[in-house]
Amino acid sequence: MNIGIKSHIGNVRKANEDYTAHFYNSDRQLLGILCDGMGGHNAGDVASEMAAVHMGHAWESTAWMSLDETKQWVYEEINKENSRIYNKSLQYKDLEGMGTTLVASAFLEGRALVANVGDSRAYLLESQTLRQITEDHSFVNELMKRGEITEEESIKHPNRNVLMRSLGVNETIDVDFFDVEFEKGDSLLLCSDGLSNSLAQETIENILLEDLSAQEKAEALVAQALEQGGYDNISVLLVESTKEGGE
Amino acid sequence: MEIGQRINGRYRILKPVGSGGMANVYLAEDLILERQVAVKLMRYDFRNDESSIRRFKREALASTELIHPNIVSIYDVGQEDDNPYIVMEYIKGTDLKEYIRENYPIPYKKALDIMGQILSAVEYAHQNGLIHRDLKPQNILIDDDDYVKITDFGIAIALSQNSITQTNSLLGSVHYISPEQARGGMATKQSDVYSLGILLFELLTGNVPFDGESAVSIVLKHFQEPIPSIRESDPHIPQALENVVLKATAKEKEQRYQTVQEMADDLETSLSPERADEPKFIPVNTSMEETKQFQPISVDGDTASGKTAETTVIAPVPDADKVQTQPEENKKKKRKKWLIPVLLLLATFAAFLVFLLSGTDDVQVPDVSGMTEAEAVQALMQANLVLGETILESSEEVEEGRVTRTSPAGDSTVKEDAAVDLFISTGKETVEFQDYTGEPFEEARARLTELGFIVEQENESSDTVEAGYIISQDIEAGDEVVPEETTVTLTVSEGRAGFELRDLANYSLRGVQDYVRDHDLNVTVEEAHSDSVPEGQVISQKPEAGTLVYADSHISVVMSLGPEEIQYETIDVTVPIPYKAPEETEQDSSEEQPAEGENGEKENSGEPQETRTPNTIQIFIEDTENNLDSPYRELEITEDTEVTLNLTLEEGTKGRYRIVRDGETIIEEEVEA
Repeated sequence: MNIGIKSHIGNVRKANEDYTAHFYNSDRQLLGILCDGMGGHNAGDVASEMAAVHMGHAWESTAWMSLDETKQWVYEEINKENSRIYNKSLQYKDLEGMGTTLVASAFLEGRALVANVGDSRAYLLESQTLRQITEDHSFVNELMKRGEITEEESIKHPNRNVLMRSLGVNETIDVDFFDVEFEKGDSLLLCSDGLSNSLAQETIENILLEDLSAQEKAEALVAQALEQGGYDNISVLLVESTKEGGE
Repeated sequence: MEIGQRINGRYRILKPVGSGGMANVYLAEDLILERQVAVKLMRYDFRNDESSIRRFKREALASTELIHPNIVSIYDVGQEDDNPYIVMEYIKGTDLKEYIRENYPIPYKKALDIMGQILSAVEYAHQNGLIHRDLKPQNILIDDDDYVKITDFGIAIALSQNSITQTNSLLGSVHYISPEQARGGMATKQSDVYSLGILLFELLTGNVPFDGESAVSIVLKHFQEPIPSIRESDPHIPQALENVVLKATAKEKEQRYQTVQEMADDLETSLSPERADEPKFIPVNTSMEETKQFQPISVDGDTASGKTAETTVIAPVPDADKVQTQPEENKKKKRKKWLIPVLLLLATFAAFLVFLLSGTDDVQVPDVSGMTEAEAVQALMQANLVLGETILESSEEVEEGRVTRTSPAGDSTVKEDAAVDLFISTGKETVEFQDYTGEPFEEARARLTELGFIVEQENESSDTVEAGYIISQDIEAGDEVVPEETTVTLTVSEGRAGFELRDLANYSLRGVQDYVRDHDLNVTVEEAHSDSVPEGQVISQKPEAGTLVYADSHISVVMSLGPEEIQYETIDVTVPIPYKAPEETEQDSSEEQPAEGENGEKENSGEPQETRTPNTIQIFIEDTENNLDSPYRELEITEDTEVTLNLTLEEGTKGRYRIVRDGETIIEEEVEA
């Protein structure tokens, strides 16, 4: 696997509330995590870092897991992080209202298991074509899914940043899972909305198809989003499969 | 924000008075103008967003130009640290949401009066080109004299954009949002009209029309579902009044009132008897022709034409029964929907004929007990009676605002045009609530419980009030309340504001410093090696996570230096090596003087060195790089010589050196690092 990671504060924000990292367990199974935090003074970065780092370290202490076991593990772990953040936000006044999105992908024997809460995204590049795997848990996306508003309306909607689901808001949380084939030549991209709001899917696809290393692609994606304004924090985690049958 | 703290040096915080999704509101003292003000400190994180700060200030400043008795005056707008704040008129009272919760059912006249004030304010703002965009009862304050003040004009838009928000912050507004705003469209005057319609619905029914588990499900109802019938839950509501709600909340904004003034005018006359026969308002639905034709039919059975006859029968039925019997009534009504209106119309018409023909005849005083004042007046008029005096009295049975009895009593026979006095209930007997602040909580609770109050306790830290004593009460001293119906929340001090120390494990130094700065702690940073904690992260802390600490408390953290690197120390040892002339080789040193004894060195010192027989010196060192197996250095000396040895040692270990002169160990010493 080739891995490229880049997180940038953007041109406008004064804090980077995104957090992205990757972790291996004792049997070299890879887990990539990307979190986009939100909430008042100082709290957004606390939430995103808490979720990603705790979950990552927990992953490091596991050994080989099957897909089903991983799914169960990820579900429980996300719920653990959710209640941890939820409780902290109740406990500390200045952390009140903090929360974070979380998109993660575990890579297991030719498959990628993607877990998602919030509006960070996972994309899969296979056979030279990029497709979005996750579904945003945003207010506008829910309205769009129900045919109440169009995509253009959703882009300009004043409540486009309102999330219907995120870690740290309720006591329990539902997690979306997507299980995709991930074989040689495939790439999986996790990104915060700082990227997906700035770049069209086609632009992302073109950059991923360039003849660059994974790290260079990650940096090129972020650079391109910065050129579009960089109004938000921008983070990407790119995993490219190099081996037949994955890792 | 702590009590006593100053904002911008000018506004001294006196106490928190409320918090919403986006802001905390404090009662403060304006130290320059020496008046009490409310300071709304936005919780919104503006650090991230310069353009939002500008927009917020622009919008907030625009609303400072609104001068209206029903609009909260804005005095000042500013920024404290990263949070913007608004200084405004302090209103002693509660918000309308709370008011509805506490006072429902609200007499129609009172509801109309409240609504009238709101409409007048919004109309004024519209004339000044300002659309509120976020009208909801939480933004409407009401004081002890039922005087209404709207707040947050134009703030909604300034805060809605940029930065991710959680659904919760939207939830308060989503019940009142117009369909076009929910779709992300431009907010217009008609959008405010829609929200006002929902507000009126809530004033009349105590509930919002559309509720659901998520913001999305609520918004979908705004899009798709008709407003639930008010008259189904309260048949006394005149159709003309329900129509105001229906017209204001039409899904298509073209069908709503085009101005707030239009809505106000319509509302004002909605209780008048002249409009008692008004048909139900049905929006001209451009997409569904069929329902348009059918709906008026089912509605006629409920029109106000039959209301007097109906209410005299139903009114005395206590509330609890009403709820249960109603669905059945509705079923029956539907079956006979053609028959009832016709009969009622005939009956009313016949009654009028009788009155018209009979001149000053005897009439029966209708039994209006349980009705609202307006309904009773209407009933009296229909019976050709005149309203005498209106007298307030307390009543254990009849709820506030409704008629307890009349004089002459109901069913008695009087002359036409006789005056009938109405007695209106002020609800149950009240007591004046005392000031309990500063008293021990347990004592106050005992006394209040005895009086019949339900006492709830909230704990808060306080730097000024001793633990266990009351900081504040949510009922103002002097308020008249009914103990049996009143829950009072006493805020009890739990002593100084402490908080549980966070688990700082794995935090960076910067993270620790931020935390310490934000919590006014003092920190001592130590460093240590760790094999498990990466360099630059916290290994341990004192006191441990979860310990209660206070502002100014001292904490200490140990930062990791990463895995321990072995520390080498280089030690210089200077060793004097005495020269010794060989004894057994006198002939070899024939040119030399024999040198002997302990003092030989000195005796020899004058001798020319070239003539001496050199000593062969072997120096052995035992340190990290050398051992005693092979010489570290060899040299020949012909006089007393000092050599300096460099030993490299791990911290805490010992080294050794040995000096061998002509095969004989003369010095052996240990060296400690």
